[in-house]
Amino acid sequence: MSEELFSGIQNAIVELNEQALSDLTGEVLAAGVNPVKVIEEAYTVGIQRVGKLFEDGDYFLPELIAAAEMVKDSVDRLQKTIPKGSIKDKGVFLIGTVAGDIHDIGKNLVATMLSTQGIKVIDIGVDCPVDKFIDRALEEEADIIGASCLLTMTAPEQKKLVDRLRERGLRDRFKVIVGGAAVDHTWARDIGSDGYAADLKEAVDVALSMLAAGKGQLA
Amino acid sequence: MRPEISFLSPEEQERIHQAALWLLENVGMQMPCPEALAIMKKGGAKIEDDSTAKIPRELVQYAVDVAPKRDGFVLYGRKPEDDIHFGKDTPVLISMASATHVIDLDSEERHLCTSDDLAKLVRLMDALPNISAAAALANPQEVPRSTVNWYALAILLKNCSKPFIIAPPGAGFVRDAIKMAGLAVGGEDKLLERPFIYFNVLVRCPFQIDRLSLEALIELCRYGFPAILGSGPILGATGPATMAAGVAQVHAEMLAGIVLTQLIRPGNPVVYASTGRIMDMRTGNVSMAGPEFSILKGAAGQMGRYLGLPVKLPAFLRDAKVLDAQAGFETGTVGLVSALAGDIINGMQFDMDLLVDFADLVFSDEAMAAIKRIVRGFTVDDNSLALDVIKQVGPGGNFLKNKHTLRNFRSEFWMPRLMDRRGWTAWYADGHKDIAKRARERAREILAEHQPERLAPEVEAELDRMAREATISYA
Ligand code: B12
Repeated sequence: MSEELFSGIQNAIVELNEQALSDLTGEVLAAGVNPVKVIEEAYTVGIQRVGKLFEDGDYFLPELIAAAEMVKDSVDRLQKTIPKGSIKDKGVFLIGTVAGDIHDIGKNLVATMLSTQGIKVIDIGVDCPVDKFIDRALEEEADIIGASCLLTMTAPEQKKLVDRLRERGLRDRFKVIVGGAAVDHTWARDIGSDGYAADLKEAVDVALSMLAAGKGQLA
Repeated sequence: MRPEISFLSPEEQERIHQAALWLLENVGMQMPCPEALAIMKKGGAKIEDDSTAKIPRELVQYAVDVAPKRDGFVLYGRKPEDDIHFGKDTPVLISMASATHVIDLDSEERHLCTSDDLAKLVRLMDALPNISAAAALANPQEVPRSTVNWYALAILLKNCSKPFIIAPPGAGFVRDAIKMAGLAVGGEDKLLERPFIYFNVLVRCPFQIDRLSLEALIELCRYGFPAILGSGPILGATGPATMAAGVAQVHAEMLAGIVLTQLIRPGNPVVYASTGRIMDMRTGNVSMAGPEFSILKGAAGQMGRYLGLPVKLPAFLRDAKVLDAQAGFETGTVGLVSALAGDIINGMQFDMDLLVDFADLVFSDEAMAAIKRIVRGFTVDDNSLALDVIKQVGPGGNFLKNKHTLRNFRSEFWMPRLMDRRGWTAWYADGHKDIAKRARERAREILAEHQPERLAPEVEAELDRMAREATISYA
């Protein structure tokens, strides 16, 4: 029964069949199957299969995002039935666009992609002064601060962020990743950022490896 | 006749216009700038949540009526011979702005743009006959970054006397730009008589204009400078995924901008510009050269003409990274459609607005010349029908020696300078160079020969000082 249920869930995700997934999630709840096990073996596997189809060029962004949203709705329903903290995020990633810059398409995409990877994403919007990044990161207990910048004119804000963290004695508390069309690897290194990503794939890779390394140190 | 292109029937144009009016009344335009909202309110818009102007159709109609129409519209150059008269001189090619990288003229490697690169790019544009207006095609990256726009403007003024387009980050920049351009022509009053700098103001799709842009727009209209208003929804991200809705959104956002400009200063010149594009659903990047880009340009051009306004469409933006076959195809398809649908087309960048190549300027100049020839079309009259000539030459005859050929071939045939029409043997013997290589060589020659008209040394020094001392605040 549960094997059938699990593959049914995976297939509903891959087929983007919202109704079927919602019904199957209802069945999971009614049958009293262990939610942590279903999340790991059905929902996560389903979204990974969609991820693979995306990587292979068979699925496109709207499909990937729709699948992620469907899974999130179901997982939220399941999480209500189990004690808080049974399912851990891989980490908290705070992301925003620097002061003076209102470009947010890349930032939004990065946020969406990271959240499909089990990372909790806090999006603080556009035109954010450096202290807003830092105050919100403290509040949300973020692991990583991501700053997006597409304008040459506002790139100095990324440097200001790193400098300000140092001034406030918080440089070791958060990792910083920068991105956006106005900056590159060299700039990221020169301003003392911990990471840089040029596209979605790199953004996911850098964030995951940074979080994995961070957790490793703690253990 | 002059060829035209249509993606929308007259009924469809009307329907899109009505859809746009509905959007302005029901969605409205968010304008996070108290002064802009006050102007809109005074004009008759309904302000909601202290941020969004809902615009009644009567107000839209008023603004469209008072905005100067395309016929008789002139974009002034620093010298009268560089003026662009709409209808007569158009379509013309002008420069896009603000890339970050250039392909080195010698090493052919990509590197960050420097002031010296921008000066050379601008000098090339000054020399090339089919580039009618310049801009800071790429921004220097070694200058203090927060005031890069001032440095770029000083370089433009020193290296080119054609009209310029600039993107203003806020009202302070507009004022400084007017001062700096004024210096180049011997005073602000002279500049105001024949303004040769044009400000590009963009909508933040969907249905917002950001504060810095609004402040800039208010300032430049007060001075009486033409506003180039642009809306470029990214279909699938900042606009709906259907072409029809994308065009209606562009049209609504343009109308909102036109209303604001006409309320600030009735009769202020406005240009209807549209960058409508799609999100590439594989990478999330913005595609600015695919087939949809052509469709959106063609349709937006029709909607601009529907209002009788001058139209600007970006066209020579290529998804390609280098001057290769992809770039050639993208230049030809989008360029031709846009030139048929608009008055000004702009571009000359690769890699999603980020990269420029000296060779590409020479190539684009040539491509534009060919496109202009297509758009010019041909006339049908006694001379061009040449019945008596055909009769005189007769069956089996040859027209090469005929006077009719001598008299007409120069105006009827376009003479390429860069496109190669020799046979394989001659081409091979001459180094078998592809077009990118030939264009790069030509770019080097032009840069070695061409000297722009310099300004007085004390004026140049003053421009440099203004760039160095510029400040900006976003607060
Ligand atoms: C769309 C767009 C706009 C839209 C923005 C709409 C919106 N809601 O975001 C509008 C029209 C409003 C706009 C306005 C302006 N723009 Co603009 N814009 C663009 C354009 C064409 C595409 C940007 C985009 O969405 N790309 C697609 C996304 C997916 O890519 P991305 O943002 O780079 O993000 C990816 C990576 O960089 C990375 N990434 C990004 N952020 C982060 C953050 C982290 C933490 C990580 C890990 C990774 C990461 O991952 C993303 C996924 O791959 C770019 C050109 C370009 N190539 O960037 C110009 C561009 C950025 N704009 C430019 C300019 C000049 C302006 C204006 C000043 C123009 C004006 N006349 O006003 C204004 C500025 C407004 C302001 N104050 O910010 C210039 C900047 C030049 C420079 N280097 O200084 C560019 C390069 C175009 C150009 N050549 O002129 N723009």
